[in-house]
Amino acid sequence: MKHWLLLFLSMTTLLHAQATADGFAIPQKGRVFVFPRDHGSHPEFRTEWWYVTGHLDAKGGRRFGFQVTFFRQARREDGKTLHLHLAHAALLDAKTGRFVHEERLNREGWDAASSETTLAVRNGNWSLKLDEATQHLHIAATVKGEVLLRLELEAVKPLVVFGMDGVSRKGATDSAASHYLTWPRLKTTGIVKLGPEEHAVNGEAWMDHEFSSSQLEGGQVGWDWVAMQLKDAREIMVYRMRRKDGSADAASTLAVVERDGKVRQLGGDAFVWEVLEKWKSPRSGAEYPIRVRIRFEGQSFELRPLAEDQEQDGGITRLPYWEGACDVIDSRGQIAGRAFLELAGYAGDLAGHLSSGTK
Amino acid sequence: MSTVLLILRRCALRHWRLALRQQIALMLILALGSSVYLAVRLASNAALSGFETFTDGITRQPDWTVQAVSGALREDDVREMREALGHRPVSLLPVVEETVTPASDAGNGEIGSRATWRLLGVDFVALLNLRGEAPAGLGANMQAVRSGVYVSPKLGAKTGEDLRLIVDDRVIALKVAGVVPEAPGVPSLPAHLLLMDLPEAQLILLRGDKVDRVEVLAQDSALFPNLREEAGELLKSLWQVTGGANRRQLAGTMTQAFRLNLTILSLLALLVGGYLIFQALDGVVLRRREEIGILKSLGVTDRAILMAFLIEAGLLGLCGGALGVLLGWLGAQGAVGGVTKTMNALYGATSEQQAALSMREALLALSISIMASLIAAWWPARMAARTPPAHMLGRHATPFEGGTVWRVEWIGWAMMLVAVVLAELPVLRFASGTRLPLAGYTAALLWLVGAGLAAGAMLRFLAKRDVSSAVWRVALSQLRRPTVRHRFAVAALASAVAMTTGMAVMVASFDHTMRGWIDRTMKADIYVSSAGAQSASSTHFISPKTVTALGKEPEVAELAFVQAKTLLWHGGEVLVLGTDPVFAHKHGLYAWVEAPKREEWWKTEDGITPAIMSEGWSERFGTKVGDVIELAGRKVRVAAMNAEYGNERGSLTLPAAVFRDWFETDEAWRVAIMLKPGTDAETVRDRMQRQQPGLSVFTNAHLRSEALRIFRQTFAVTHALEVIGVIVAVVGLGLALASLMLERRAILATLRSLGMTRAEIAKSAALEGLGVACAGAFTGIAAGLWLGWLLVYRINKQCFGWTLQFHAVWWHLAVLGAAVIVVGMLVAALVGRWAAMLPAEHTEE
Repeated sequence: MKHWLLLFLSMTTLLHAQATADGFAIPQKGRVFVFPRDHGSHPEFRTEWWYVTGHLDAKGGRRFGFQVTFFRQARREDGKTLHLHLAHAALLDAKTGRFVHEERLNREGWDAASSETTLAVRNGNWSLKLDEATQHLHIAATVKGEVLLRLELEAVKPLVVFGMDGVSRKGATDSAASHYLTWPRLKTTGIVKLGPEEHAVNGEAWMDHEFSSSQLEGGQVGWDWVAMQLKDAREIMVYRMRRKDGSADAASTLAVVERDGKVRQLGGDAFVWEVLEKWKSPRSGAEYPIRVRIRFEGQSFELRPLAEDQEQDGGITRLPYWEGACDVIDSRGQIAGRAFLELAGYAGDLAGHLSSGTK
Repeated sequence: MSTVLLILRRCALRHWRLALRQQIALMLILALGSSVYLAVRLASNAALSGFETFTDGITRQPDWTVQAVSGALREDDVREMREALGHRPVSLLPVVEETVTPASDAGNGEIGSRATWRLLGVDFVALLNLRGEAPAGLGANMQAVRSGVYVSPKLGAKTGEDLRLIVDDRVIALKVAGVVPEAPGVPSLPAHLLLMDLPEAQLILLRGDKVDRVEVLAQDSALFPNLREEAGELLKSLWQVTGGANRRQLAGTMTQAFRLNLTILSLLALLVGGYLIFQALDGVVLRRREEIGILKSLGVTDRAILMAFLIEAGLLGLCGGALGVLLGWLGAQGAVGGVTKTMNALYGATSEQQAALSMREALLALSISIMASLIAAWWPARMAARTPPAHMLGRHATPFEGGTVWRVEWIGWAMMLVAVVLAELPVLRFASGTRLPLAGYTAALLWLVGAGLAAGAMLRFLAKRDVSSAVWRVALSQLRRPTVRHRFAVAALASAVAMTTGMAVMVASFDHTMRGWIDRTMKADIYVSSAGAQSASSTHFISPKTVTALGKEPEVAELAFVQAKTLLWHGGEVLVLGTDPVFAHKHGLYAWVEAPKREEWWKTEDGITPAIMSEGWSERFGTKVGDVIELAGRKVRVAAMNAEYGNERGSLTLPAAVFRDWFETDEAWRVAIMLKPGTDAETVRDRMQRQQPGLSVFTNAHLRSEALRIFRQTFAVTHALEVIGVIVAVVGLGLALASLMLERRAILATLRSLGMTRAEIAKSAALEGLGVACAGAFTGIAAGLWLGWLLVYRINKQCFGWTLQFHAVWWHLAVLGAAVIVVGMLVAALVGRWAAMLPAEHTEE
């Protein structure tokens, strides 16, 4: 759930049942997804992303967390539709705590593209592609010329469609929704090159593909998002929309993907989000709740970050956020799995940041 | 060492105090020599840096520049480049670039007098990814890209202001979207660079999805240790890829010949200056010979005396050099305008830069001054150290006649002979068509020095006269057994006059040849170009619509146009032209160096495209008529060679239809119009100019005068150097005579006691000076004629590829000779008057 980007869209868009005021589509219930076409781009929607996060292990107990994400953002200008492609890539070396990340922005065209027929997105030399013959995903990315990721991902659990009847609600209004498709567990193999060192790696990844046009409501200042992959073969996804007064929005959701792939969704009042520890970024000054405990249905999971500083500085978008690899600790203090935690909207007023970039 | 310092303090520095003006004069001489060299170097570097900054103003210097093999690059090509590069972290920056001219700058009617700016279209959004390597504040972010142009604060425009610009044949207004602030560590925009977002620039310049080039940034790292090389290799398989320093090198290559000419000329001026320094230091030793004699009698070693003189010379060189750095920098500020103008006219848009002085250049000028001073002081210092004290102290010391080298004239003749042989050697060729006429320049240097050495013979010849007057006898007796000082003075004068003569011959030959060429090739009544086209390599074009409109004017009988495209060929930039061969043939517009075998050269029988190459092309790449070359992936047969003095890069002319097919363009570069008989060209020109404010419309007469003016401008800088050379040589003559008179003061005292008046002594000195001046002038002019031949038929041909017809303006040379002789005699008379009043005892003055 990369809601921070959507918040920005909500400021300029009027709500409408079928389409936004400027003509972008709004997610509709009962949509029949057709693949591989629906893995590809949906330019009729304003915003779309392909978001891969994961954990990798190398020989000698070396461990990495990685993130490779591709965004497409459309806007109408002089009667034409322009698509911008934003992308983030990051790697955490858990052994040293070194976190390398990069942000990228390109126009659709000569150096960025997303296919409308299959999963094939590209931003500069970063790419995410689906090999239709093997149904494997391929990622190639570099981070600041210091890191190279070449990964192959294979779904070990089927694709999940979050939400009710194909629509994931983010607020009370019609447009505050998205189509939210996820591969909750992808077996990952490949190489990680860190400077002159090359590591053969394997691990597990999570991939969201979400498209919408105006899913956030006013009054929201940020969000927290978690994707847990538990050792018991279950996955848990949580998004918690934060309002100006600090409360969680009613549209907040916790979803459990059972061992057999079935999804159970709980409302915002069915889980508790408890902050255990905060970390203050020396760069942005933001104070992030990097260690949290989530309780629901008698279960308790603590998210313990592998490193404190996993903040992406948002050099181009000027929207810093924290997105990091964590261990999941159960109520007995045992490691129950691995997770990725996203914390957005903590670096001051997010809306203020966005409007300062607007001319 | 303490003895050396003692001598320095008690003798040298005391002399400096006693004869302060003399020391200052000496420093000025040294300063002049090094400053001329420095000024020329700084000015040409500054003009050259104008080329560099257009490329380097946006990012750090790109590692590679990618261009299409032929035609244009399209956005699909850039996608393909990315595919070819795979996962490598390489930044690609597509660029469109066009020269534009501010419509408000009307110039003074001369080509090149209007400012030429560059409009650069780059993707502002993509530039955001190069944080720290590209200017910030270009108004692009997630939500918007501000439209309009971004400018440097140096341009003086304000945000929101409208800039009216001539783009191709249109006058358009572009809003200043912002002024890019200069940030430390990030490249700053050059003053005359306008930056625009790529899609908007493509729209304004009517480019569709075409771009001119793609700049590639590929930095090696521990992760990708060979990234730069790998990226270059991958891209080379499909596109024309040149190194990152490409344009800088290209500009350097393009202007190399021109800059080399300037440097050689400034070095020749230094050579003549070297004579002068020698003469001045020789005079210093002469004035102090009694003192040296006393020191030696007191037991000071030869080595200490030699060291003391050399250190003194080094100090003089240091002071003179420092002054030279200052003078050179000041001179460069004046010269940079002229050099830039010439480079603009010859090679294309460069921006006028301030001639900045770097530590390296300053040290170089200082070293030159110190070295020149030490070399020139070596022989006088050695003489001072070696001459026995008795000779030093003797009132009637024998005048020194110089070393063997200076008395044996055959060495001079031998050097001249070697020069003649060297002149026949071919030019040195490097990759990308760069040529260095090393043998030619060496021949010129040897010829100048050799002629100087051999000129002593002329002195003896002049002294053969049988005269009865005592004044004449005294004067001629000195020339009959010329001392080394006489020979030096003649050598310096001869070298300077030869240099000036040679340059004058080359300029005259150029002028003469140009006139003939213009008569043959410029036959249309009216010529049209974009008003922004201020040089041979301007990228302004005229749209097909405008060409059609021009052709519909009622007075127009015929219209033809030239199309142009700059390509990289064998690593160098060349111009490919497209013309209507039938029109050119009908009006006899070709100036053949080697005519085609068939009159209708443009018709092919075997399917290979025929083309005409310019002489510059042939000289640069060694291509011969009949050769089949590969250009833009196609085969071309060279059918003929024409003379073309428009550019020295070389051009290849294709039939118009072929050009249009290959480069997919109908845009014209230049338009030629034949008017109906009886039409007044001026009236038609005025009307066309009013109707098309984005065009420059010339009548035949106006364009002819402009062409000649531009070519003359090319040599404008050289005239200043000639004048400096001659002035230095004449001053040298005065100094040499002053030394001779000092040396002869005992004889002068004897002559006076024998009844010779001071006026007679002065007259005798003037005649002696006249002899030296005549020998220098005659030898110099004779040697200069051969030097002119060398410049015209060898160096110029090898540098520019232009065949010139030898042409000397004899009355120019006569005036030069007379001026040198008269000024030389006047200087000698002044020295004579001073010498006639010298007391027999030595005093410092």
